[in-house]
Amino acid sequence: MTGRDALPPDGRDALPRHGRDALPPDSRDALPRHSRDALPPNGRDPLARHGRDPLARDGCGRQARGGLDRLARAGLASAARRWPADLSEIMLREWAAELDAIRDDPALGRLARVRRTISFAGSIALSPAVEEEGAEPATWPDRAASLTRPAALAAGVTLLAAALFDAVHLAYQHARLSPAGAIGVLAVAAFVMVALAARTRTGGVAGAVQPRTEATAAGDAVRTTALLGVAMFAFLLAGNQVAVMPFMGWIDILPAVATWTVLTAASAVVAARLTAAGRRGLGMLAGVAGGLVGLDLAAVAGSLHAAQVLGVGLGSAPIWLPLALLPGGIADFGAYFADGNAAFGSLQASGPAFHASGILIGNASAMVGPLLLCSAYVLARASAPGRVCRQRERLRTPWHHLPSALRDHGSARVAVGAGGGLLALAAGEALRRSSGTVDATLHRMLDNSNVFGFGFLAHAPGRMAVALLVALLIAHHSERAHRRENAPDDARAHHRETGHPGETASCGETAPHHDRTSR
Amino acid sequence: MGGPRMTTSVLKVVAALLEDPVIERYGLQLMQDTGLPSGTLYPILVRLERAGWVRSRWEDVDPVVEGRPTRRYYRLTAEGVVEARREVALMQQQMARASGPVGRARQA
Repeated sequence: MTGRDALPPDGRDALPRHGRDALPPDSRDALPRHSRDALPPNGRDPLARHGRDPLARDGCGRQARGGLDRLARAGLASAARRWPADLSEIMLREWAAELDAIRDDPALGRLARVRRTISFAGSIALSPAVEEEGAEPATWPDRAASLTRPAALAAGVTLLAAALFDAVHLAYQHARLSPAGAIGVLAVAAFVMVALAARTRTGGVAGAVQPRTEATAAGDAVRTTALLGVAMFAFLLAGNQVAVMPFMGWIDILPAVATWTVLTAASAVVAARLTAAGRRGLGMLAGVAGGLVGLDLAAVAGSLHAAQVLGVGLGSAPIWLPLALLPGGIADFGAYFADGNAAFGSLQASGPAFHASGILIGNASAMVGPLLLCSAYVLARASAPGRVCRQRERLRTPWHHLPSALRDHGSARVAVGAGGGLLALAAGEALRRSSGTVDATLHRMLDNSNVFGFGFLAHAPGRMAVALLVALLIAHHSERAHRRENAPDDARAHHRETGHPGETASCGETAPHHDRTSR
Repeated sequence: MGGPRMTTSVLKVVAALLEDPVIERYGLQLMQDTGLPSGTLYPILVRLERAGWVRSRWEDVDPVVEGRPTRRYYRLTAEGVVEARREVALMQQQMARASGPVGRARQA
């Protein structure tokens, strides 16, 4: 007999199993009259009142009071939303009652009351929610991994975007590409980022897609963009270790990255919400349009300081982005420096005669190029369909053809990770050396083929950090892919459909909007 | 239904409820009795209730008359009392075994 079965027939069990409908009929009667009356008519949206309006009346009809009280209630409401749906209303009401008890406790002094209110609400707000019924409680290593994995992924994506854009610039330098050819090369680099987004979105193995509601998709889009923004800011700031770019201080990078982060996140949210609602085409269109606007404004924001120093007017600002992405020499504007002496910011070099636009555009290119590729990643991830059912043959890792003894051995995956780390290190070092001398910088800024970043690889800690990051990402990816490939069919299907190993659903049971998406 | 995973925090909660299994306690009381923060206590209470060791009920008072919202009370179920006693005894045995050699060494 389960504990629930052992309950007395008076039905005062406050823990519903499947939401309010699962409660014994008289359980609702056990709820306080005023709280019950405060429920919406269908009784299914408990947070509509408590969560979205933390200032709502408490359980006995009084108005909540005080800024701290409101803040505490908002924290509790936010925490309740993270709890399983069948518990959130009950827990929120219980916590609110305890908060009132603290507030009205005559034995407590003012300071003690404030301290207890903060610790009570803060602890709940910051602690992980209880797991869904039937699921294993998350361990601290699990929680740590869930925090570090997205950050490591963002750092890896940033490094890849920067490396790819540097490769594009090397192509500009060596192949003397026309604008059309340059667009083609950029498209290939963007495609790599889109393909990466598809793989990371699916956890490395096709079909292992978690279900997406509009809210979870939007949350993922914001989280991904914000982490990439932080990683990109750190990369650009650390990348100019050998000062090859004249305008690459925080005063240049921060406006660019902040503008990109806010506008790209907004575009990704729109794309994700539309995709989750089954309007993927429109979502992609909106995402691309919003992403381009965000990039254009980021290029302007990141170049305002440079424009001021160089004396370039803002009338040309809208074309700074396209010029920054294409080979140099397409358009010249701003002051003309006939003597070829450049002494701007950290750039002290001499070369051919040039226009101020050459410096401004070359500098902007180092910022917006990698940001463009990050935009491709973010928007592709946001526009990914929420549920994919694929054939088992495609549920394979790229190394599935290897002998099973080698494939299944854990050290093989560690070796793959270590090899990847070394490869990344070699590629980064090659790019760092490609940036050339400071004297060559002016020439390469003017033809917009400068290789930027990876200056931190000049030092051993930078090299070690990059190698470790890439090795861990690859090893982790390999391990997850291996586990999914070897998971029993049922578990894989459940994971694919629900994101949780214990929940049941089948590929055929797709929601209508997912059907539209897959078509 | 499987029992909850026994951790020090879970043991503290069941031990507090075991002190007088007939008495119902609300969350703040249990926080004071166990020293656990709210963010730790409530997930444990939910797990114990899911396992059938604990039963909860809303206080049966009129909030308007009382001038405060109703609180939720917890107590051990009959099954919970048996299981909790067993787990606490098991822990005490393990503690006695672990501290035995130390105690003997101190006496020597």
